[in-house]
Amino acid sequence: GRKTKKTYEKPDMTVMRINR
Amino acid sequence: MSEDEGLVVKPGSRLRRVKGIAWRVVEGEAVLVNVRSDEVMHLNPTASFLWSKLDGETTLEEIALDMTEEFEVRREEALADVLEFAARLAEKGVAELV
Repeated sequence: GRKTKKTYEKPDMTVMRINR
Repeated sequence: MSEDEGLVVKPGSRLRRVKGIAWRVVEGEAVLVNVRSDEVMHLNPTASFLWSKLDGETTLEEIALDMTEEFEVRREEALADVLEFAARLAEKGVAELV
């Protein structure tokens, strides 16, 4: 019944500018 | 760095998603659209997990604990990363302290 844990990576984000 | 321009994020802090941010999780990764700042943000799986938990009621410490159950990570590391990333989200104007 043991849950398989996902691989951890440091929380991060990519930010893209929109040219409206 | 969990402090920026007077914003202090602590383990007991509660954050919520700012209204007006369009977002969707696709294949475990969140995409946010902030039309106020003309920015699109793509979050990795752990960041997306954190983002989805920002309901304004759950503390960052609780989110870090949830993260240790979902991902292979120690509690101390998860908490430090959650605090840092939550501050980044607040700095970007997509999350706010309750």
